[in-house]
Amino acid sequence: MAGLNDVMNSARSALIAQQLALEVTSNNVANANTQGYSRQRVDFEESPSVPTNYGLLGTGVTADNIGGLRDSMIDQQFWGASDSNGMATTQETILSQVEAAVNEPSDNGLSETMNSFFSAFQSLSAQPDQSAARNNVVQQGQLLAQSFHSIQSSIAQSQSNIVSDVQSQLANINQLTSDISNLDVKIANATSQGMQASDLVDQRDLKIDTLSGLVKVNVSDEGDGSVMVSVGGALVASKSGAVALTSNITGSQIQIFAGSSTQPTQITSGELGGDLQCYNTTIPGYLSSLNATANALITQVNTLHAAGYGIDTPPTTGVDFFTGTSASDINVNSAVVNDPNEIAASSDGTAGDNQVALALANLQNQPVMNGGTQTIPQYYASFVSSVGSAIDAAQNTSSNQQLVINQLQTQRSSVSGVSIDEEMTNLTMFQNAYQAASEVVNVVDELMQTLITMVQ
Amino acid sequence: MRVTESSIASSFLYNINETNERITQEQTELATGKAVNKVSDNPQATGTILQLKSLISNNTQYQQNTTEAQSQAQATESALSSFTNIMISLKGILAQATNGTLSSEDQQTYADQVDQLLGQGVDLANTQSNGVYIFGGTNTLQQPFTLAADDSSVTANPNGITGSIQVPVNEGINQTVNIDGQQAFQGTAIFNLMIQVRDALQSGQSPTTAQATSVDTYIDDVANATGKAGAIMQNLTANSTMLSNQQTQLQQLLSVQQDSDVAAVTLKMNQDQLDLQAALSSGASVLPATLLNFLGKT
Repeated sequence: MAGLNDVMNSARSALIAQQLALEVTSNNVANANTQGYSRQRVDFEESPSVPTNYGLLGTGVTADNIGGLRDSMIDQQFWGASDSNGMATTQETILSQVEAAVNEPSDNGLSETMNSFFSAFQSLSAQPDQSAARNNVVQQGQLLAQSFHSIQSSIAQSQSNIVSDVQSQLANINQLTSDISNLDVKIANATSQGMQASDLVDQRDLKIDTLSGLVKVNVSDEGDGSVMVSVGGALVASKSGAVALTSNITGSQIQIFAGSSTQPTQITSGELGGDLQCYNTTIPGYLSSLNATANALITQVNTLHAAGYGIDTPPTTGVDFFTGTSASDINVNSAVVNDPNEIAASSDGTAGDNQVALALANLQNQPVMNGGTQTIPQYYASFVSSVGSAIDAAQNTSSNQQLVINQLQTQRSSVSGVSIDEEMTNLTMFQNAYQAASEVVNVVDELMQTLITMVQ
Repeated sequence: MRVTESSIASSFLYNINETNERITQEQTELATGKAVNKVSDNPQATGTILQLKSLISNNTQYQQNTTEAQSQAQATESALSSFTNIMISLKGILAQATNGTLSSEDQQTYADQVDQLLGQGVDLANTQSNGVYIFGGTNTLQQPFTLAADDSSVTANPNGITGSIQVPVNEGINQTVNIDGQQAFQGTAIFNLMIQVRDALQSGQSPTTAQATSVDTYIDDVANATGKAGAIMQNLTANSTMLSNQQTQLQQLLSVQQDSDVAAVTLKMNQDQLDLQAALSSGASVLPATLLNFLGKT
């Protein structure tokens, strides 16, 4: 038999439930701008009914479960997309440094210096007997060598910068995996006690978000709310612990190892993947193109030059114009610098003969590179273009992936994000319900008073 | 779809950023006047630009070579026409001296005149232009002809007075720019003839008709050489015109690849600025609007 007290009780359950809902709303509003926060809500459930003479009678409301709203499929998609964005962004940054080092097209890039160098030989061929023309050849040769040195050292510098970048990324990754693992332990505990640890899951997912930009991750659900995170096939974080990644430079390659494994972990994507790709493949490729250009220039110029004669007395022959073998050590032979008359413009030792200077000037049109298909300037130009194309491709990937990520963010936010309008609506709704329940208490109170007065 | 404040805010920021990025790129294009400022702006065009720049650089060098060659060819031509005048004077002297009825004094006078012509001729044959001997073949730093101190003989540079100097004046074109001493003066033959005539006159003999005929032949030879020098000049002048036409064409091609279309970029930039303003103003009105603005205000 239901009495006034039962009415009071159901009103009380309503007050408690609405208050809890107000608290959750307040928490949602408070965390509206918290990164990684998933909005929470209280599930209301009707309290068990009791049988009366008139049928089953409800006994109020129970707040059942405070839970975060999230869509794990979107999370997985997000983690799958952020690594290629991270990789492209890193590549763009590093390659832009190479681009700046190459500095083309400009009036003082290596191409232009190379043009001036060949022009100097042309000028020499027109005036093989003029010391001004000879000095100019030496000067342009030195400028060209300097140009090679500075580009080579800038590119090498960007490459060596990557090493420290990799170190700090690994530190970051290891911190993240250890955090993820700690959080997973707590999440699994909470789950075993029948609670939804929404805040912990939020924190962990945020860490995985960050991690997924650094390196390509594979996340699988363990069924108890915790996850297993693996990188390049190696398990790096789970509720049973984290495995630290370490790097090792073997030869000219940076390799990443998981824990005590002796097999390097294949990391092909993410910011770390971008760094590795640049350090291990892209930049060495660029350096070898640059060195090939310098080397071809040195050997071709020297071969022609050594066969010619200077205009000193007696005319010297067999002198190399350049010394060195690569972009880092190319230099104008000091003998030539000291005595520009040793520049071999002549094929027979007469001062007016310019056959060798002509051949040297014409070297720029000789297909001596790439199996006899490209001239030296063409080879260099295609190297420059390849740097540009790589940056272009990285930029495109990065902006496309950014769009994908934005889209996923929007989807995620559409499920998990806090909407102030919605919270305000809820607030009003819960407020009204709370006020109504209070009114019920008031009314019951009055009834009680009436009843008591009646008894007196 | 459920839309939250944070997604409105981030999409607003993304769009503003995209527009700003475009405006920055357009501004750079306008400020530098170039559409390709970095390789990555247009990797393909960069390849072409570098090639065009190399062609332009060559062309500029060819122009310079041509100008220098022109000055040498001009010096050659003028030296040779002066030499022709000497030969004509020599011919005149021979015509008078072979008359037969000359006093020994007259003969001596003619001999002195021939001797002078010889000196002038050797000087002309040793003409220097820009510090080099233009008739020395490829031995440009050694004096090609030496007149003995007693004027008794003329010797040619033992290292040779032959060899052609070829200057690159256009892609694949090497123009011979010199007339060597052998071609111009038949080695020392002309000077030897002068010496023979002078010595004969000095010893009271009249020059022979064979000598007079030789002078005529040599005049033709020098005239031929002068003609060659003139042809070189003509070639160089024609080449110079061709080079400057090519230069204009190359610059145009480079401009097409490299320069920004100012009108188009300005137009695009205006459009983007308009977009930016629209985004900002709509953002300013949308972003602060929530239910809060209206709750409790009634």
